Amino acid sequence: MPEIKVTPLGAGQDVGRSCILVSIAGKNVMLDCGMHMGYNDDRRFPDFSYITQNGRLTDFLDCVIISHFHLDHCGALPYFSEMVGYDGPIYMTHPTKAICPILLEDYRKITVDKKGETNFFTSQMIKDCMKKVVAVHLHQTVQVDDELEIKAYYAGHVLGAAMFQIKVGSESAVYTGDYNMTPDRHLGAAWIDKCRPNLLITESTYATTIRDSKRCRERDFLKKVHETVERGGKVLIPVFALGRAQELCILLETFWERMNLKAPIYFSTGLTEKANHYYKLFITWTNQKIRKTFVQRNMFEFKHIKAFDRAFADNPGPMVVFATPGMLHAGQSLQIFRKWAGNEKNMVIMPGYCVQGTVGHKILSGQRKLEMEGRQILEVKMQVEYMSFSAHADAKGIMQLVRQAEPDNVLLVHGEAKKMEFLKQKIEQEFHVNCYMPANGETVTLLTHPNIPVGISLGLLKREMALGTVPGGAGGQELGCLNGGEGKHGFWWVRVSSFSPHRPPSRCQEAQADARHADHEGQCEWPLSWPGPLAGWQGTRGASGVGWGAPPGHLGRGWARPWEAPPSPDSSSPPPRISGWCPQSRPSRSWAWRSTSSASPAACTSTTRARSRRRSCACTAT
Amino acid sequence: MAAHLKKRVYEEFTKVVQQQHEEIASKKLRLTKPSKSAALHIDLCKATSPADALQYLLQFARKPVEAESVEGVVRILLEHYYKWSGTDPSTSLRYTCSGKSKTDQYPKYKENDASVRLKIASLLGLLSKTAGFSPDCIMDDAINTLQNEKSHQVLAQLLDTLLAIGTKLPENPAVQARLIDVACKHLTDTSHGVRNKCLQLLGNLGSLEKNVAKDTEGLATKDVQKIIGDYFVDQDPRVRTAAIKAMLQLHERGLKLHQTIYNQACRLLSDDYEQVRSAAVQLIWVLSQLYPESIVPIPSSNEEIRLVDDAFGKICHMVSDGSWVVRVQAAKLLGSMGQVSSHFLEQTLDKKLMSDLRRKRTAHERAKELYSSGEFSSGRKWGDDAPKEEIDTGAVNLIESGACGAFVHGLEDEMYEVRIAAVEALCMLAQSSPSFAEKCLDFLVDMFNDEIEEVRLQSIHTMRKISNNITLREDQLDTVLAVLEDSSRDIREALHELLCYTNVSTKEGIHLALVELLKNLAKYPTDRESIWKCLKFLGGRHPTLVLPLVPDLLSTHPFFDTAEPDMDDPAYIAVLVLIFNAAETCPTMPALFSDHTFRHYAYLRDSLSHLVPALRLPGRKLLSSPVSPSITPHEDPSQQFLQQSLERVYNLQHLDPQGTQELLQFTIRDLQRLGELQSDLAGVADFSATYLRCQLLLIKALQEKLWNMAAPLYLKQSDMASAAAKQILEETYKMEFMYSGVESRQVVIIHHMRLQAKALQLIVTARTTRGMEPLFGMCEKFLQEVDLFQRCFITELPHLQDSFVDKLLDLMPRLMTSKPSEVVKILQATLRQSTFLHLPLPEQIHRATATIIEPAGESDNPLRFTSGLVVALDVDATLEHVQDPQTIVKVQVLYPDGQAQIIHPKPSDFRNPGPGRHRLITQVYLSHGAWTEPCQIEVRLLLAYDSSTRISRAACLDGAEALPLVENSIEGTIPFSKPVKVYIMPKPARR
Repeated sequence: MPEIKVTPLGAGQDVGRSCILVSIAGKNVMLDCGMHMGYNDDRRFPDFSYITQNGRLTDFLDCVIISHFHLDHCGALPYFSEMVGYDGPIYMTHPTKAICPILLEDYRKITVDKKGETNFFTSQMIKDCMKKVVAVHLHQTVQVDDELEIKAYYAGHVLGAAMFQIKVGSESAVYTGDYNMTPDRHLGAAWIDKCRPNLLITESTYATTIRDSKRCRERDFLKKVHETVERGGKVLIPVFALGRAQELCILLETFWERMNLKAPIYFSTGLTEKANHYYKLFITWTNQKIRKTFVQRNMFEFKHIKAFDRAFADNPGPMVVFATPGMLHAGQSLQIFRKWAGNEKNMVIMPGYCVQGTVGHKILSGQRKLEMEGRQILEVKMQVEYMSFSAHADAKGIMQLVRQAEPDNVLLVHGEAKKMEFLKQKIEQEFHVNCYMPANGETVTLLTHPNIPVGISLGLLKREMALGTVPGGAGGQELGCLNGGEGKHGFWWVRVSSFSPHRPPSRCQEAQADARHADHEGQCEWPLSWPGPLAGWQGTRGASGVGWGAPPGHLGRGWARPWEAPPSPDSSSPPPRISGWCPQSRPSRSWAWRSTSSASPAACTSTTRARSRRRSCACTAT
Repeated sequence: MAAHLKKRVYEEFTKVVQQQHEEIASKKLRLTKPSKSAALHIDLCKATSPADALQYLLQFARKPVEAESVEGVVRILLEHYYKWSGTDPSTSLRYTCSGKSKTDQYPKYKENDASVRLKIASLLGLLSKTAGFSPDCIMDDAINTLQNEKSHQVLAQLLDTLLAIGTKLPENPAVQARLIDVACKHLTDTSHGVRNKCLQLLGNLGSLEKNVAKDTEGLATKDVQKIIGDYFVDQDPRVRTAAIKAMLQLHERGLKLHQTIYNQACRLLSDDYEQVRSAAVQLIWVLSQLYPESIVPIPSSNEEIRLVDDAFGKICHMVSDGSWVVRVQAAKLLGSMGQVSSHFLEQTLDKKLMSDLRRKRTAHERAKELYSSGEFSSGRKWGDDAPKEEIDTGAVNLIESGACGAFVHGLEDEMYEVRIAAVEALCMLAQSSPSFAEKCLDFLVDMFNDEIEEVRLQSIHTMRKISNNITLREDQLDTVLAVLEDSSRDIREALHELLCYTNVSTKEGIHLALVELLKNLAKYPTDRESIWKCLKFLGGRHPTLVLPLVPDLLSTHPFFDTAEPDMDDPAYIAVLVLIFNAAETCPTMPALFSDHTFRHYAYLRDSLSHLVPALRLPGRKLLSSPVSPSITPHEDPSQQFLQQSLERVYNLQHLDPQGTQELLQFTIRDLQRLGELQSDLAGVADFSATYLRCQLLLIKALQEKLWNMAAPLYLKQSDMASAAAKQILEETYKMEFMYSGVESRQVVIIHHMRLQAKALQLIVTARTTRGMEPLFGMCEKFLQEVDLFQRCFITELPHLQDSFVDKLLDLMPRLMTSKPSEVVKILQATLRQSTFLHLPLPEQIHRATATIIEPAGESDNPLRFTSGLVVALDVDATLEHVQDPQTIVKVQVLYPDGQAQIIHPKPSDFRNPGPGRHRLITQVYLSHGAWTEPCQIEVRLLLAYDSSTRISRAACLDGAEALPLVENSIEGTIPFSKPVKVYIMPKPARR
């Protein structure tokens, strides 16, 4: 049976160390290659020995896809490619490719230079690793090899974050990476077309949360800052260098512009300047407003935000400072905090979550007296505010994405087990699709029903149509008995994609291939026109220079595709293979599937389908 | 004359074509006629390849064709059509199957001819649209052609032609039925284009009543709706869209759609293609308007709901569609679903928050709670938004079927188009439902901080529109007021406008608003007027809330005298405006005033009378008795005064010249003063005064001594008379174009006055110039004008008894034949004898005024710029009672060297803050050569007029034939604002 196997090496019922192995129609793909923030030992990287115990990984993986530049999605990449050994292609979007090495280098510095670790990847390794990267555009269909193709969709979240569709023949899976369904000040919302994949692998960080409107949060934030600045106070905003920081910058910048404010805004230097540079470059990846106005002025060319200098902290008068790191545990933000904490006019705004034990966490939980190193007691008189700006989809957003993509199965990763349980139940209940949530190392196997191409003479097809066995295109699915036999054997039911009512299979690619084929044969007019480039993929078609390869194994003349019979009550015997091509019949390089636990096999093998297959183009032999 | 000639030429031309049409069968004759169709024929015969033929057809398509020659052209085209398609019209039916034998004659074109046929088909469609041409004669041909056509593209084009024909013949049921038949036949075509066109045809021509088809020739009744409905499930999305559009078209034409379509339409909402979904949303909306009250079942339960509620829920669902086009469409339509039940309506703003499976309150709820607990503006604490109770996991419905949160999503959408549509929809729904208005307030206030200015502006306007239904809470007011610091003037002014209409609930609210407005004033001093006006309304609306604030605002002290504030401080004036307007309806307030406040009141009442109302102050006489609204205009003393003085003037036929002049002078003076005092009578008073001034000038000119002297002696004095004539002309243009509400009766009088002025000009010229040559032209022109006057105002002539023109028209035959010197003599006599015409006053008349707010002309610092380069000068002006300012208002810049520039502001520079009011905010570019020292330039606003427009409008109203006015139109400009001086200094460029 054709199947899709999924094994999370990281991010299975967990946040961090995202790394998911997908085996689809004999192709092995690794999705993301991240590190875990919580560990400093071997557990920080995924266990690549799962794939193979010895030797290089190149033989076992067809490609690696990185969804975005956050370290929990790309942090293990140099280790994986250079130290374990992988020479195959690594796919990521252009902004990710640009920003990723900066973050990796930073990460390396902190671990090696500050913590003094050895046996870590080097700068050279990062460079070598980046040489293996192939950058992709949004909506560009990239042909990894003859059969495997991938396509990126916009995901919001951070600059350059993308969702990837992986497709082999008619089987496909979508991996979302991290995504955001509500637009923010600098990025748009995630979007995917109705691609109807066999499997949707989605993050579920906020599986049990429905968030309030972002407007209230923004307004509160701006009001706080504005009031403090008007009072003459100083505002400290500890941030991580990338992502939220840019959103807040844009927010404050536009507010300053709108309100004609004069107080200076500073941004602590370093990483950020480089990153801002990339934000300026990749303006097409940002939201509508920034994209539309960049001709007059690039919003990331900040007018009011200037680079920070240590000496500025002592300047009198109001100011706003963004400083790293975000949890006030070290570095510049902590220094500034110590300077300003004593004045009740000042304010610190924590824009994100703080880990226990950090100064950020302490002040947020209401501690007013902090013991600093050297037994100093720091009295915190300044106001402490908490603002949550998060760029993950909430439960509603996840449901919305599932609705948009209409997958056959959903698999949850990147979240806590308890929360996933709730979402899983909801997805199954509301969409009537199977939902899985494997733990790390657990394998999920899904049965798929790929289309199998079968040759049929175009003349025959036309003749049948002329006879009127296809009722006017409207609602006609069965072509009827092509070879005239009424007997049980050799009875062909053909579902032809281009005749199916209004459910063109995955954006009519098959149909187009059909039509093109007909053209090759010199048939000027294919009897039924196939739906042209429309709606969702109109734009994508232009962008994809590579796309539209004819599906594998087509048989030359005009052909339709066979499909298994809808499960009959007694279909215990596997459907016969009709043509020479079958997903499993090709030599597959499978890794040793270590079944750590039985991944609910009952659920996996079940062929019952609550939803009727919209997929068409099939041919059945009984 | 020219018109006459033209007409004749036209007639001759058409005759030629008709002849040609009669003899259409004979090729020879056609060739000899130099008509368009013949030329086309020759061209097409010459064409040796399809490409050639296509070229000729394209060229032909560029020229218009007269209605009479259309049919001939059509015949030729059809003939060629058959040529290119390889069949012959006469034998077309026989050759349908074996077209090959014919095509063999044109072997060269066999392959490519489809494009030519396509072009011909499209030309047929174009031609049948020609006005005045009845296309029923070519219908048969078109249908015949259709039957033999094989190319899908050409078929589609031919169907399009049929559609054009069908729409030209809406009253012919037989034709319609036939076309419908054709359409139905081709509906099974394999090409989407053909099916599309067929559906379009059905939608546009499908019979609205079922029995019509039966009556005519027993054609089978076709239920168009059913046929179209079948194509809702077509395999091609374009055909599905066309089917829905056809259905909508039927609805637009007045057919009542069946309710059964509703279910079909609902299924289309989950279509793969956005244009199908978008059309389906429209269809569902239409059905919900048609059958709002019918009951539909909810799937998977036994409950039933009203159709409009169900449709509302479905459209709400589409607000979170994947395609923004559909989202915009859905959000827009939501606004017009007024019948939806309030329960569903309020769901659209509902979003159940949760965090870790616990119920959480929204920020809006928290704000409300904070407010009601009296703990406003407390600092946010960590964990303030901590989730509360656990949620039953089974009960949470993440993808709602209903309307839940539709607007929450719409307002947060990525595309600003969707957000604007959502705000508009909110506005419309809130206007019809006060309870909804109250609920959506929080969301609207949130939109004030949108990143796109357009959205912010839209939401402010929306809020103003629903302001009757709402009272702002203090925390909401706080958010609203925060926007006052916005750097965009539009936003601030919209907000001031909003505050004018807002109800505030507490005195703290008023105080807050005042403080914020003063802050705004300090930051943007140019907002002065707008802020004062805003405070005027704020005070007038909330007198009881202002009362407790008065001592605080005036900083009075129970025992001590405080320092007198500076009277010229705009902020102090702002406070006083608020207080005085509140005091108007709150008689206890003046008791709290200190002495200087009363003095300031008297000053402001005089200087800013439009902002400060008359107060009943103890022990003081009212400065002007307020006119209570119960007095009708006739009883109003000032109105009476106006009437009386005018009547006095009109009765002055028999006074001696000296007395007349004096009376006129006094009346003019009276009227002017009256206009200054009574703003609502200003328009009438000014208008009449101007008219009287014209009359006065005319009388004075006629009293001149020059008429009694011999010609050579008064060359010098004639200046006075000709100047008077010129001035009268100017004044008449002012009267005609500067006042809004002038009716045709006044226009006649004005034109009459102008005619008199022209006569005067003619006479003066005749007396002062030697030689007759220039006079010939002038006389001719004058007589033409009299003629024109007569033709334009033929209906009004009876009102002009005994007037100049009346007499002149009597003498017209004589004037036409006599010599210029005679004419002048007659004119002079008539002018002197003619009586003074009574100017009837219109109901409402307003003078167009403009005030330049910026530049203020006070600056001593010259605007320095490098000579040869430009400097932009911001001009801000308010215009009142100007109709269509985009086209007529210009800015004039006068340089000290006498150079004058007229600048046309962009249409987008004009805003329309209220009825009759306009605001011009523009930039004027100045440039000049280098000067040695700074100097002042003048900036003023002009009204441009074009005398032809009003006359032709009047002519059209009277039903008179259109006149060739071009040569008579006079374009000019009237300055209608005070000039403002700007100090500039172009510096020489440094090398």
